[in-house]
Amino acid sequence: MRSYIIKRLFQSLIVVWLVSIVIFTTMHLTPGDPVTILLGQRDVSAEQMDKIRAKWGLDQPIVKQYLVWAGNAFQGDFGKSIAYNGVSVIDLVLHRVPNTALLNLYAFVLAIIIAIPAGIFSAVRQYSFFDYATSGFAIFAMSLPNFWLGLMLLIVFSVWLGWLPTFGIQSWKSYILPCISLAAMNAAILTRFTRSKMLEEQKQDYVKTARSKGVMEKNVIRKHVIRNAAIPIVTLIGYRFAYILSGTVVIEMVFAWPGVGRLLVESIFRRDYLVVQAITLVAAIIIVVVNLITDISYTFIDPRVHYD
Amino acid sequence: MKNLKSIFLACFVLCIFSIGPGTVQAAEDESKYGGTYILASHGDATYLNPFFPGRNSDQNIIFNIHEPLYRLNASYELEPVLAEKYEVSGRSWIFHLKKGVLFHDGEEFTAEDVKYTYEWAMDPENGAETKSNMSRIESIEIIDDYTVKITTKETYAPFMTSIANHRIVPKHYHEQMSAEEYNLHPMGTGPYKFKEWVPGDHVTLEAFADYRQGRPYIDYLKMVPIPEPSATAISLETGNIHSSDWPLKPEDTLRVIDSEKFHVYRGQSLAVNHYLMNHLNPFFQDKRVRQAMMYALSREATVNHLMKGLAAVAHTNISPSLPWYEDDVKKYSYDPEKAKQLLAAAGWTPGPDGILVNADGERFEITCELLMGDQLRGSQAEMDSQMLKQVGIEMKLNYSEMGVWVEKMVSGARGEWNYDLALMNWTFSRQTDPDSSEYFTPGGSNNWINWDDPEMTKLLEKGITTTDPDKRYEAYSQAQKIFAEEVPFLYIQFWDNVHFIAKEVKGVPDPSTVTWPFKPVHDIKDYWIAKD
Repeated sequence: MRSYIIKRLFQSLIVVWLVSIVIFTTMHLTPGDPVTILLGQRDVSAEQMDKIRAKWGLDQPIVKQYLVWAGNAFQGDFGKSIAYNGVSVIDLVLHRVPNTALLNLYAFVLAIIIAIPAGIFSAVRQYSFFDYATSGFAIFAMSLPNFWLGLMLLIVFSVWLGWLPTFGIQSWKSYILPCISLAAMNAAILTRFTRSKMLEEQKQDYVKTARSKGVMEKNVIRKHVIRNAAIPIVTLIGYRFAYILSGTVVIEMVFAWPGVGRLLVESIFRRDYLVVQAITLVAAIIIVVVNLITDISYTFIDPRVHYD
Repeated sequence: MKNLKSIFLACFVLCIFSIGPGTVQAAEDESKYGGTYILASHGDATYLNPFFPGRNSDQNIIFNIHEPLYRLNASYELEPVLAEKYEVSGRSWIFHLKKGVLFHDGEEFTAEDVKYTYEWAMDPENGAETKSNMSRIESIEIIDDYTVKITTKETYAPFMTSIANHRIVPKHYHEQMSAEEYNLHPMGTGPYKFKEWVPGDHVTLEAFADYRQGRPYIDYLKMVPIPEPSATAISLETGNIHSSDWPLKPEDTLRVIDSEKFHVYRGQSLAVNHYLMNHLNPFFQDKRVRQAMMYALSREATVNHLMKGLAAVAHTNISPSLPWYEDDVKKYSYDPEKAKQLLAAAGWTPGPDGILVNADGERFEITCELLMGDQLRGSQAEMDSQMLKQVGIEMKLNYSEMGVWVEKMVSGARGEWNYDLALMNWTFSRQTDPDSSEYFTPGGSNNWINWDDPEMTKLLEKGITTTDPDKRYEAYSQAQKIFAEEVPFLYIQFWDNVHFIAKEVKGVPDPSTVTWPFKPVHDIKDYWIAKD
């Protein structure tokens, strides 16, 4: 087990390194440069722009730029933001990580709390009213674009009812609407997936065997079906985790959430290279780690899985 | 005894009446103090630095922390701020500064700070955005602590606008730190001092107790970025913010405009909505073609249907809200037949698919560059491409994001042909000053269209080197006539910009006296928030 983890960690390092190269080159190959975006519409001469470019090291050959950046990043120095003229990238990003992390954590927990029981219950009571109702809801929630859902929630709960704040983080109430908007899609996908996995498992021979042995139906579901359906569900949860950043970007824009997703989008538009590189690199590291954790968690869920 | 009682009573009543109103008055004044004004901005703050004041959201902060010698007030009038008065004779400008003005750290503001600020801006090493404001200065001389003499290189009419555009930093503070450090801890003489900036979340300013006109009423000014325009409108309607620094979308504006909950400021933008036209494209070389395109577009339809009446058709590059506007110019009404005639006269004949073809067999096909996500102008360009198609011109739309888009436009000024048309709104003046030489003269840093008309160049140069207002007006009036005749770009409309301030905010400017560009918090020092 330990050697497996070490091996995986080593592989992860290589993945992260490759990702860093890809991010760096795609960012720098994209047309448009930060200084033009920042000053292009203003009355600034070409020499002045060149000076500013030189100040940020943007006049160096790209390979050199990469090496300098990678070397510094390895030591934990991600440089300074161009668009925020000199604010340290680490400060910018770290300040927002808790906001995004908490929001997504709540949304994820909310989705799981709703989805897994709902999925199990609709599989156990297939074709019941509850089953149809959850399926209906799930399809509805899956097809709603989350920015639209967010805006509608704002109109209902903030404009009409006046219960909840409309932007940023002001109190715990601020979490409610973005959380629901983020959770809706995941809850829907997880419900449907849990239901179908549960139904699949129920058709297996071992379930028939258990039932014919006279095991109580409650126990058949609890001890056999759920445990076996759990692995693909956990895989899906880990997989959905990778989508956090893409989902959170839209929601953070709608709710003016001071999070990493919004910073990422704004920085891409501004070609604030160092910020984009730092965020994507951190995101890559998180995804790699989550995948690792998912793989390891299999051993706890299913004793048949073990790594040597 | 009874008498004594009534005398006491009478005295008591008298006391109440004599003291009463006075104390109530004082209490009323006292009650004005306090509260936090929340302003939504469409983007986060970036540079809190008066040398880099280009972005709207930053200006709300910079302009409350720092002050210029003179400023243009909400009615476009020049008004002394840090200066008492100025004298001008030819190229020399003498400014008499106010005495006893304090920076936020308690140091006094003097002529040293003025010289330092302007010279820092002029130094090319520093790459200040405000450099062009100061580029006409030859020398700055300190006469005494409260008098500065500035000599310009030549007689320069828009100089006071340049002065109004530059805010003063404290020499003793600014010189000991880098520009980056200063961004994070700006300091000036303004009514509000910097408190904190949490990137992406808020910037907060705090009332400056020793402000020269007395402490402002509102304790804090908090600017929060809300990137999604609909969410800004919702926040305004629900009272979560007091105002937004950026106008709402037309449909949101129309929904809110009749509400009793707001002070409403409606004015015409200084920026003209237009199709930037790159004259490196040979199709545009013929004046008749450019005029035909003006006739082909129903600008009234754009104003009425797309903008829902929140705009006015443009007749020149200068906004009718400015005194420099010339109305007696060639005007283009919707006339597709005339457009077809002009195009035919210019040698374009309809091809097999209805699109015009010239003598070399080239189809009249052009591309309009748009910003990704720009829904409003996207719909406008779609409407207009239909109208152009009716006269045989095919206009394709190409969306790209900001970085790519700006790069294309800027390369125009370098003489590269990377775009045909681009739909945008831009101000072709220096705020209230009509100087547009940077945009229309060869070599101008903002001449993205590669425009070169010797007569217009001469008039625009005359405009900045003449100080007599009547002669200036004459020059700009002539320049506008040439503009309308020659059509350097397709000018469509001036948008109405509507701003809202929540009614609970008092002491705001009277909407009827305010001209454009109105900024909700630029006069926040006079506001107070009513407590219900």
